[in-house]
Amino acid sequence: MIKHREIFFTRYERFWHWSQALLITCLIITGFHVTGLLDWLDYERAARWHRTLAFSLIWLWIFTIFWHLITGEWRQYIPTMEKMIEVIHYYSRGIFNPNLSHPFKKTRRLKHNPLQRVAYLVLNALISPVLWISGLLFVYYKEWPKMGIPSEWLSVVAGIHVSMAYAMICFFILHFYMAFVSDPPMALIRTMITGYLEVDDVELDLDREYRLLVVEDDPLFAMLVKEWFDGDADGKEDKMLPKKITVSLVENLQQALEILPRVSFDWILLDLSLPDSDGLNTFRAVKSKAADTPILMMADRENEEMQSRGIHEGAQDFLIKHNLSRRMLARAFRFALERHWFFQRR
Amino acid sequence: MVRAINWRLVGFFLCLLPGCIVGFVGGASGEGRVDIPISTTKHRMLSALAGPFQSGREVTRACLSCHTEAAAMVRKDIHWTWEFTDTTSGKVFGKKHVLNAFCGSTVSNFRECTTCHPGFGWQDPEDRQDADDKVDCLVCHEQTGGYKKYNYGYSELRYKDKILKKPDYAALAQSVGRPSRANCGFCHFRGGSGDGAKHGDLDSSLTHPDRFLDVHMNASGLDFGCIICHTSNGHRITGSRYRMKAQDSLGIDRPGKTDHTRASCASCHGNTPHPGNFKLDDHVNRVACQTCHIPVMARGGVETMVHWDWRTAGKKTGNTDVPDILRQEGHIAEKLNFKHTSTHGTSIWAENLTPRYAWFNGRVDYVGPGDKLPDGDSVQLNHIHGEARDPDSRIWPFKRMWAVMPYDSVNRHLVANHLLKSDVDDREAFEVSGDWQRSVRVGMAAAGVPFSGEVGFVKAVMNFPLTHMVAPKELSLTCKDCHRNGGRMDGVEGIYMPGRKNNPLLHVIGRGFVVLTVSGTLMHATMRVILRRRRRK
Repeated sequence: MIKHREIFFTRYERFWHWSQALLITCLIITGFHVTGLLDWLDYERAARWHRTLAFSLIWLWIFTIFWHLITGEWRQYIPTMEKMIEVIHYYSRGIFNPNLSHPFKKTRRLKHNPLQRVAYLVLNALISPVLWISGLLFVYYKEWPKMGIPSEWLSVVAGIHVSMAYAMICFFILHFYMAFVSDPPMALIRTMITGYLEVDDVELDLDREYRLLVVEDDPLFAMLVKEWFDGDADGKEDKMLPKKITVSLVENLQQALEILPRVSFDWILLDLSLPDSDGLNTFRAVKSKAADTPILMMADRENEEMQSRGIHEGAQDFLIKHNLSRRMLARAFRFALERHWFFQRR
Repeated sequence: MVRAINWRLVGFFLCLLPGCIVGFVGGASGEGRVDIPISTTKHRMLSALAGPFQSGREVTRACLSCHTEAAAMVRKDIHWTWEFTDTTSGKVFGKKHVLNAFCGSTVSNFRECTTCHPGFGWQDPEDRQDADDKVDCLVCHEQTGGYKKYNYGYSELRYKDKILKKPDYAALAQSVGRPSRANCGFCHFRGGSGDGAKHGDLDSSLTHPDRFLDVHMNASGLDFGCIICHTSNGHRITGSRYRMKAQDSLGIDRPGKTDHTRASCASCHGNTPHPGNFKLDDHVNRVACQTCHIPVMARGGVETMVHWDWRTAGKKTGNTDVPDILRQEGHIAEKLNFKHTSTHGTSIWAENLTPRYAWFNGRVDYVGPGDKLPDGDSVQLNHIHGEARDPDSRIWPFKRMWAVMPYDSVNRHLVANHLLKSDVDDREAFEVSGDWQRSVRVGMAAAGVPFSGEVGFVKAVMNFPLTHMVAPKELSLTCKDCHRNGGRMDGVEGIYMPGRKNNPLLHVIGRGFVVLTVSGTLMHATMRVILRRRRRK
């Protein structure tokens, strides 16, 4: 099978990941000294290092949160139930069968499977903040009277910190193990180092379910498209299209922008003139939320300038509504898929 | 051009040079030594002190001819009254009333004990000694170093009514000055039966200490006298052990913001004494300065007593076994020095001892001769108050002195024993009779407490908070002395201390989760390897 390499983790992400891994490892070791479980190092040195490393990690996180906000990559961590059951099923059963592959196909835009999203959310929203807050309270123990915290709570704060440290260790072990649960085992590690992921160069798979988003304010036309394509292809005798297509309908741009981050589609059929948006701006707004999805623009009449500008900016097609037939639209979908797949492969 | 600039620079540095020299020399001379104020009076030139004097009381009268209020002031101080009224409980403590783990009580051994009273001829404990000229100025103020006191506080050696030896009063009187370490040490270094016996942090090595022994009293450095910290106002000397301040939250003392004593570290060093190390300052609200800065006691080459077994008194030979209690709750050293006399029983001495640590808020209760003993086989002669929850408590270092002491086994009272004879004809004293019943009966009569006639022995402990012999900072405790399992703070409970396993259950649960996670992944991995291989086939 032919494979191609695709950039998956940017230089910053890799720097962040590995420096964080190093910091957390050292924090665990020095932390065990502070809590009295280890005594390889001098207590004073361990305690001082623990403090320094913790502040370094916090600084790293400040930069990283900034990076996520700026790049929009924070969306990678929004939890979803989509394919959750399949992924759990895969890790508990399917993984033992070499003939089955992971139900979640990573893309640059959707890097984490639903289980990963939940795991990282627990890490980022629970374990890490609790560790920092309890740790900072611990460091600034002297300021407690000013904050109105009774000093007897030191043992409680320390207990919370230690509990969360154990949670962090469990996460760390699982995370470490999962890094090798790939085929071949070193593939994920290599990706995290080089940033590139080996992606299978597969034929267009028409057997799986495809999703079409129709953004159209005319209910009649929208229903017509749904009637044409929604459901199994059986009886429609059409080899051109996938066996199963699910059609989702939205009426305006705002709805489209809401659904796009949450669900991944294989096509978007986009009417350019909507109640809340018009012309190429409609296309640009949708494109910004769905950079990797083929978008087919529709208009009521010919407009050569808009047509060429749209294609130039990355649209797959420009269709005139009143000319459309089912066959034409089916062909447009198929060609869009092929073109998109071709460019992706490159 | 370059040359011109260079000359200017050279000139600049030449101008700085004299300043550097002055600064260097100034800095080198005596580490900011505290100079005793220069007196406006040369006492040897005063006609009132020219002498000759026939007695100590005559000297005192001469002193009072100028220092008119001095005697009246001294007679109010605890050094004179040997009484201390505890304001919280209303109980009266003080040397005259409490028992200690050494010879027991003062009232039953008055002749010998009053050697350390700053008066002349105190024979009856009930005598209030109202005469001003009975105050002994010399014992605290003479600077010849040759002054001695004898039984009942007399300055002359007497046999019955005859005076055998008399000091040169005029020379003593003309030497007077502010009290030196030797003046205070005349009594305070020797308490409890000999040099260093009692406190563990006070002995004759502090007369001329080096920097290693005490960084403040260092005779070739700061050279602090006792009175630098134990400040006084109108002869009322501050810093008594009967009512201590375990913490001085007021911080640095200055006029207008003062607790009227400098007998606390914070009085000079404040409550953030570690510039550049905020974590050390974090300890201040829980740990006394003494805990880290007095790492070892009895460091000056003088042994202190750690155990006194009275059961062997009256016998020719003493114990040579190390008592279990010393191993468990007392002080242990490589070299324990056993001393035995048939009159005093067996005592154990040692130096360079690790202190014991406990919460302490400054309040101390004492058991007197008439107090009923609690159940159990040991008694705390002075009960140290304090606990982790109390914001005024600090972790303090203590010397623990254990004794096996006589007690009234029927009434369960500690007893005042008449150990030392009160005159040459005394036949009842234990050192003469060797008979506990007889000596205790006399002692209890002196203390005014009923006695059943039965004498048993009980284990008793006395706690002495340590605060002297402050080591230079490079010798103070390091973090790991306490912050580890089995460190110095073992036994100090009620506080979270990093570095020792604080919450064992939490670690059991935490470790459980880690073990579950590891075994889960190992199981998963094994299944993957085996099942995938099988299916591939």
